[in-house]
Amino acid sequence: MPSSLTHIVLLHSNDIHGDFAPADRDGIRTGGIARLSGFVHDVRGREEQVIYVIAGDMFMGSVIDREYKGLSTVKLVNALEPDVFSAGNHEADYGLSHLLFLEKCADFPIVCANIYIKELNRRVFLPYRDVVRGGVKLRFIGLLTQTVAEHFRQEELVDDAVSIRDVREEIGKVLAETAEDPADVTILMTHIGIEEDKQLAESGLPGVDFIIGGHSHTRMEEPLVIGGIPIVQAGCGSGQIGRFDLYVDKESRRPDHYTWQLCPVDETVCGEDPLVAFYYDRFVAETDRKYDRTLVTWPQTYTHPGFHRETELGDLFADLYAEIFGSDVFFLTTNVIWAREMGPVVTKRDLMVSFPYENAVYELEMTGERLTAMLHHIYRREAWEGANIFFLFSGTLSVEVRSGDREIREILYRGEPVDPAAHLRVGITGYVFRNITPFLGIGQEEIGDTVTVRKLADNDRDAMERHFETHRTAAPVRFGRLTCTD
Amino acid sequence: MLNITEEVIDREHILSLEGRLDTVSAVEFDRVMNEHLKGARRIVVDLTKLIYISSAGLRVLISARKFMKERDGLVLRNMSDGVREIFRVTGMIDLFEQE
Repeated sequence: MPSSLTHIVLLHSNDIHGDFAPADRDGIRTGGIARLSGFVHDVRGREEQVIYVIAGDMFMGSVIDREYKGLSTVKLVNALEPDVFSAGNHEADYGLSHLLFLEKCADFPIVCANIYIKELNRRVFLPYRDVVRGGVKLRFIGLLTQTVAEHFRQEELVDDAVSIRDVREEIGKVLAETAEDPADVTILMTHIGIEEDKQLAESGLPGVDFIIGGHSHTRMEEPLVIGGIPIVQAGCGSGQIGRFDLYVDKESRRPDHYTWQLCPVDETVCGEDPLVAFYYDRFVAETDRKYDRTLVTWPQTYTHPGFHRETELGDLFADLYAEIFGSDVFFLTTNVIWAREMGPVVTKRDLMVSFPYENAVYELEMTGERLTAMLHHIYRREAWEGANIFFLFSGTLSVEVRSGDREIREILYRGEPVDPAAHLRVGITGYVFRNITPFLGIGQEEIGDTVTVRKLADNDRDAMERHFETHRTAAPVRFGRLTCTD
Repeated sequence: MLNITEEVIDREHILSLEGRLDTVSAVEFDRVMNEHLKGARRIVVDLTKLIYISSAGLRVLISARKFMKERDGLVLRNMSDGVREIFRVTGMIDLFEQE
């Protein structure tokens, strides 16, 4: 390397989602939080100038995280010692007020430029963090997807108090605010997904050198360069890590060139960090004692391979909700189920991991006519084409959709056309209720008028657990209730 | 700021720490510890004058403990109440031999 250049190693992770346990991949122990930390600390020991950043969504996805409401995760991340952590949408899953407590427990800076206290017009977090290595000042600006607003709605007071502002405008603001104290290298840590990253870069970002993204779990083999800006993401979980080798010209103090690779984190390349392994083993021992007990044994394994289609597991749970809460038909969003498969043996841990969110349950009483209109909203064309939300429903209902234009062809309730005058009890989760207008197309003005609302339960997972105590197996699932035909 | 005093008596190596063992000072402590790990039968870390220990410091101690397991071990001596509380909260209080 020419002596005119400063070499900086920039490691990055995103969307680790509580993936703290090592996995066996082709006989090789891969990932796990202790090995990820081992990798980071190995590089810190070998290289002179090292920075490690995490681009959001460290929380959720494991019993360890859930049991301690993220405090366990903060303890593990403290030992990972990231230089910067940008908030992801799942960091708010325990509520923004709790996240602010977790921030106080964190021994690392959490950045996010676009969450504001509305009334004070003031940011909730630090917008950026400067890290100096080898005399080079690197500025990391945190940015969060606006879909996080759905999570804030769990806390009515907080939802009223904060807003998530436009990403692009906030980048401009931060750059303007720091114009008199410019960095040598500016990096956006965007937890907005690869598609929005691309749009952002396409629209032109003067003053920005790199984008380290998250949210879409995109596993990249090489950077995507748009408008001269390399965009990278390191997939999800702890089995791999992104690595920039960045060469900065000492005189101009600008990036001269770089390489990037997605590095495996497995036993062939690094050992485990004994400190993180110690913490992790303790958490595992404590949660195992509590959660490794069988709740129910099903006749088979049920799968949930995707979010935009009917799945066996989705059908099974929609039926279970309908049975538990006495609904004529229950609607469940596919994203509430985090497991790819469950059963035949289901432990409490499986239930916690597969249903990480506790939800209230509501009943909407409506006519068959209103239900039909709601179904047309739910299965509008956009729902099939990568929208965040997709619904499944219990087996009393059948919906046939035309493949080409996604128009609904037929709706049957208990095998018969829906009676427009019938009064039906429709079950939904609290998450859907909080988003009743965008998700179901039911306006606030209809509530109490054409749609009657009743709260059935505060915690769906507790209700499910109680149900399993007396129902040790599952009824057969009728697959094919949502069909697409030519 | 961390001061490390080193003393060797018949392959018992005593490292006395004074000040804060944080992310920055842990790098030097790690280097010193690794030097002593090579030839020590037993290592004693005297914490009488240590006022704070971070994750990075705990990592050095836990790694050294692992390394010394097959010898006479690593012993922590004279923890202050503040440092003891950190060991207690992290669950490490019973992990190390103390005197």
